[in-house]
Amino acid sequence: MSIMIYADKIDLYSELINAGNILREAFGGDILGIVIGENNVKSIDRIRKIGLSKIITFSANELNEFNPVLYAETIKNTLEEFDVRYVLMNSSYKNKILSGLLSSFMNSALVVDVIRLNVEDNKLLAERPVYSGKASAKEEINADKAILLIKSGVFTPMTEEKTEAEIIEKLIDTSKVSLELLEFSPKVVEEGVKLDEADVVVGGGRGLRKKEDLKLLKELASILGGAWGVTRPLAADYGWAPEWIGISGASINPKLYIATGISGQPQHTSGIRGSKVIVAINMDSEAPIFKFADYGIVGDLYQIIPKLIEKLKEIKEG
Amino acid sequence: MVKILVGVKYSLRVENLAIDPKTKAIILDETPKKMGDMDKRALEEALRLKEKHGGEVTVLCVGPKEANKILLEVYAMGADSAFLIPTNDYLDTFSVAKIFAKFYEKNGPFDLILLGGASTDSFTGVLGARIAGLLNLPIIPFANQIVLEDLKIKAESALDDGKYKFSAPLPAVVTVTLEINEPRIPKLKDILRAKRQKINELSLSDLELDDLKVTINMTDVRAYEEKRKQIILDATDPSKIDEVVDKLINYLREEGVL
Ligand SMILES: Cc1cc2nc3c(=O)[nH]c(=O)nc-3n(C[C@H](O)[C@H](O)[C@H](O)COP(=O)(O)OP(=O)(O)OC[C@H]3O[C@@H](n4cnc5c(N)ncnc54)[C@H](O)[C@@H]3O)c2cc1C
Ligand SMILES: Nc1ncnc2c1ncn2[C@@H]1O[C@H](COP(=O)(O)O)[C@@H](O)[C@H]1O
Repeated sequence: MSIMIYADKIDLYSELINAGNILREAFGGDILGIVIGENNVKSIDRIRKIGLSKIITFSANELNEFNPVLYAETIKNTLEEFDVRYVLMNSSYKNKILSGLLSSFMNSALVVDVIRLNVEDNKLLAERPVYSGKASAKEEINADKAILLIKSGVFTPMTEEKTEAEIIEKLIDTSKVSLELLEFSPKVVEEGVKLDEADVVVGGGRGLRKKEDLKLLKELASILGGAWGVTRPLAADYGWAPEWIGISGASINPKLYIATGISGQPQHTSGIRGSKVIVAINMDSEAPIFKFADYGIVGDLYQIIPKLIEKLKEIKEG
Repeated sequence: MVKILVGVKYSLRVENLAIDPKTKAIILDETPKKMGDMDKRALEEALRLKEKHGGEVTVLCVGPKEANKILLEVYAMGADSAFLIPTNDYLDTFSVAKIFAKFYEKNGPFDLILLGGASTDSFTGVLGARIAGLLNLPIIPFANQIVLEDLKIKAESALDDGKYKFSAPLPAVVTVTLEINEPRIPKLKDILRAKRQKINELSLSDLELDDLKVTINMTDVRAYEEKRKQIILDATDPSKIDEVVDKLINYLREEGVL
């Protein structure tokens, strides 16, 4: 029996191994890693000594970009060969699709967005947010096999050095796969820091009256060394930004999130739960965002942000 | 001609969850419900494909009896037939996927299965892939745009790190995002016509799924208690702004986040 770890970013294996350890302590077995795509395989030195007993690599050209059907076929054969009972992946849109396919192939249970994992009386229990992050559900797994998608940031990365993993290189026949990837255009970060990696995020919502006013967010973010982001309507409806924060967009885990002109609908707030400190600036004292805030300012963002920028500049220069 | 199967879920309105103030449990019966937001766009997309290429749109909903409300809406929008599989117990996505797969085999062939990228309430975003896995069909997830040509479906997927253009032979499963279209609003005459259309009911035994076993039990669903400090400062009076911003900066320093 073994436990398999797959992440779509090389840095996330070290978090997943700590989730894997919970399963190994309860059920035994080895923890294996699977790494797909040339670029990731090139970086496997970073995950070679974190406690994986074997790392199975696939570096065929066709695997450089994500194709759910092809990736599922690739992993499926490995699961059979190594008698895998549990699969752990980071929770992402890509992995939701991949794990959906795999769980049907394996006849296994599947839980996404897991934020807590434990074993009681030999039963695996996973907790995850539901209803746009307004509630949490405990899910008891009633199957021999399971795939668990773990939210990033939930488990601390493994830092201890362990014995070196054995590397097993594999090939896959990609000719039979029905789904064809025609084109991939990666997200471009306009400037500065990526949303999901930033320590500070300044968010703007429909309280901003025009696109040019985004410069308020950008300026505040740049003074704080962080990223700026928006709510869905600004990105999807007005086209002011390529992506947005929330349940159907990016999840953020900064130390500080400043929400300005954002009402605080559950679809937005579900993506900001991982923030350590939340500040809200909104004109309407009844706005739901204030329930999510550590510090709230009732007032006009057009007056408050410039003042905040001015004072932070003084501090920086002084 | 395309035959399309669409899945719509009778979903909770998450903005209006009824919460027991003592236990924080969610009171499902008292929470208002609706057709899922992305599900509605899946139906709209199916109707547009039918209008362009000819064909038929069948809708399937697995849920409680009252879900027939949204199936009336489905008819008003223009679906050709609507099916309800009434279930009272909690079903995990695997069970729902098995129901879809069986329905597909019995009532098919279909050229396309169209679903929402994620349901409005549970937002797991995996049903499409689970169905595709069971039926061994290709899947294009979270599509922003769909084109059907030469028995192939081409769609653009919005995923974590960028946009992917995929092409798949039919039959295929496609799931859609909120951005794909703006769903039509039925006219009064369509709503009246819908009332005369028949909602078909099928039981699990009709689908030979009497022994359907869930792989997951939801044991405890509880509303989060917001543990934020909620320290509110009033700066509606412009003369207060200076003082309030200073206070905020001090708080953030104490928190160690500046
Ligand atoms: C399936 C689904 C998925 C969704 N996913 C997401 C998601 O991932 N992310 C997301 O953000 N949304 C998402 N949404 C949309 C979400 O429901 C809300 O509509 C959206 O978050 C509201 O954005 P907003 O707060 O910018 O706008 P509004 O709700 O219009 O709020 C604007 C706020 O600005 C305040 N304001 C106005 N002027 C000023 C001023 N001068 N100074 C200060 N405050 C001011 C107002 O008081 C108001 O509270 C989703 C919706 C659905 C149905
Ligand atoms: N019980 C259900 N009945 C019909 N369709 C469903 C059901 N559950 C989910 N779906 C469809 O599958 C999509 C994805 O759901 P989920 O994987 O649960 O997030 C939804 O947007 C619906 O289109």
